[in-house]
Amino acid sequence: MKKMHVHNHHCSIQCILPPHMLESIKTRGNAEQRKMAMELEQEGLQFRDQRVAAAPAGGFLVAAVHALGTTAGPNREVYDGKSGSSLPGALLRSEGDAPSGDREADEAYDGAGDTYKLYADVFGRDSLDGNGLTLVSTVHHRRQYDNAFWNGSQMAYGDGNLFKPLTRSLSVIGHELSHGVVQFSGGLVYQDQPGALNEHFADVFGCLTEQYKKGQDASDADWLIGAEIIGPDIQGDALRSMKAPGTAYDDPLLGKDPQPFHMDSYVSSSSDNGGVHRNSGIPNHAFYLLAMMLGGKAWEKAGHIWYDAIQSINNPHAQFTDWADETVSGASQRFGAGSVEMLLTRRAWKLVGVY
Amino acid sequence: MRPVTLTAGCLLLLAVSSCTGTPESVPQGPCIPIEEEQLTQEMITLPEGVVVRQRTSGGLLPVEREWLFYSDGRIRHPNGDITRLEQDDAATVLSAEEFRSLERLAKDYPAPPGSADFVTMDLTFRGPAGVCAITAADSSEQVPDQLFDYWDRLQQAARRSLQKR
Repeated sequence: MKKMHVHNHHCSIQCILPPHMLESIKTRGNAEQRKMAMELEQEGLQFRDQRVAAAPAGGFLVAAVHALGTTAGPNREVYDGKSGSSLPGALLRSEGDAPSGDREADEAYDGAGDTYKLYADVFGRDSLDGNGLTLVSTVHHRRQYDNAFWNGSQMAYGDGNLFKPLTRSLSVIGHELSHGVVQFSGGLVYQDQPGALNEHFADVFGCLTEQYKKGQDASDADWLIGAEIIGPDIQGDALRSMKAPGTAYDDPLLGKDPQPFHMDSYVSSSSDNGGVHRNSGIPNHAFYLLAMMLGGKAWEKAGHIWYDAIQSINNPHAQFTDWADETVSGASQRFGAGSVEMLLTRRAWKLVGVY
Repeated sequence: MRPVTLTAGCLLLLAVSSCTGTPESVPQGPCIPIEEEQLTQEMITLPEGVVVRQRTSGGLLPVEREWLFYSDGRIRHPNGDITRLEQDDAATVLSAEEFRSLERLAKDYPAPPGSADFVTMDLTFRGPAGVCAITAADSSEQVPDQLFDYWDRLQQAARRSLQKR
C-alpha cells in the first residue's frame, strides 16, 4: 500500500513533465538534468508496469467487430427527469415508439440513433459496448441545468439557462455517447492527459456523428462542438472549435475559450480534472489537420485511424505521445508503412508539438 | 466551542448562530470543529465572516465559479460583484435544521467510473458542529436529492439578490 502511494506521487510528477519533455531534457539538458529526466522516465516505466499488472484479469474490453450492416440496430430509452436530480426518471419513449412530442426527448432519441449509426455503419460496432447496450438518456435533468454528462451508464441532458437545451446539438449527443465508447474500450482515466484524450475522442466522434449525418466532407464541416446550444446572450460560436481551438467564445461571463492548439501552450491545471477540457484542444487540432490534409470524408480515413487507436491502446493512463504513437502505428497497419496516411498522421502530431 | 460572531438579521446566519453544537453532536464526515479550525487550515478553511462557499468546476464547458455567502447577508459572486440578501430572501435560504441535516450529508461523492463531463460541486460551510466540506460529482447517483435541493436554493438566492440590486 505504501509502495503504491509512493508511485502515485511520482506519477503526478510524470504528469507535469510529459514524456516528450523528458526526451527533450535528456537530449538538451546538462548532466544533472539528464540524470533527473532518466530517473523520472524509469519511474514512469515502473509505474506503467504496475498498471499493466493491475489490468483486469480478463484483459481490457475491445468491442466485437460486426460485418458492416449486420448490427442489430439501436435500442434506445429516453426518460423525463422532470427537472429533478434523480436518474433515470420517467420513461418517455422506447425503441420503435412514435415521437413523444417532447422536443428534447425526441432530439435525444434521434441523436442517439445517429450516433449508433456512425459506429455501426462505419466501424461495425453494435452500440457503446459492442454488444447492443441500451442507450439510456434522461432529458430535463435538474432545473436550468447548463450541462450534459455521461455517468458511466447513461446520458443526462439539462434544459440550459445560458445555453439552449443541450439536446439541440448532435455533436454534444455524439460527444456524450462517445465517452461510453471510451469506457467500454478499456477507458482513459478522467484526469490530466488521459482525461484530455478521453475528451478529445468524444469531441472527434461528436463532430464525426454530425458530419456523417450530413454527408459532409472535412472541408465543408464547421468542426464546432455545441454550436446549436449557444444562447443569444453568449458571445461565441460554440463550446469548442477543433479547427481553431481557443476561439470558440469570448464572453464577459464565461471568459475566453481557454483551449490551446499546440503543446507550447499546454495548461497545467488543478481544476477541471487537470484541464481535461482545455488540453484536449491540442489533439483535437491534430485530428482536424489530419482530416483536412487527407481530404474527403473525415470518418473514412482519419476516423478509422482514431477508432483503431481506442480499440488497441490498452492503456488507461495514456499520455498524448502514447496516443500519437498508437495512431501512427495504426495508420501504418491499416494503410501501409510509409503510406501517405501514416506520414500525414505523424505530420499532424508534429504540427501541434506532440512530436 | 468558539461562538460564531453574527451581526445581521438574515436567516442564513441565524441558522448558524442558533446551533451551538456539542462535541457529542459532531457528525461523521469531513467536519472540523470550529475550535480546531486554526490547526486544520490546510484541510478545510473558510475566509473570515463567510458562512457558505459554493464552488463549481468542470462540466461540458469547464467554468470554475465561486460564490461566498457572508454572515452579514452579503454575497460575493464569481465576477466579483457584491450583493446583499434581503430579509425575505434570507428566510428562504437554509434553516438551522437544514444546516444540521447538511452536516449529516458531509462527505465526498466521487464520480462513477467511466463518467465524464460532470460538474464537481464543492460546498464548504460553518455548520453547528464546525466547518464542513462536501465535494460531489453531480453525475454520482449517490448524491442525495436533498443536497441538490440545498445547492440549488443557494444558487437561486444568489440570482435573486443580483436581480434585486
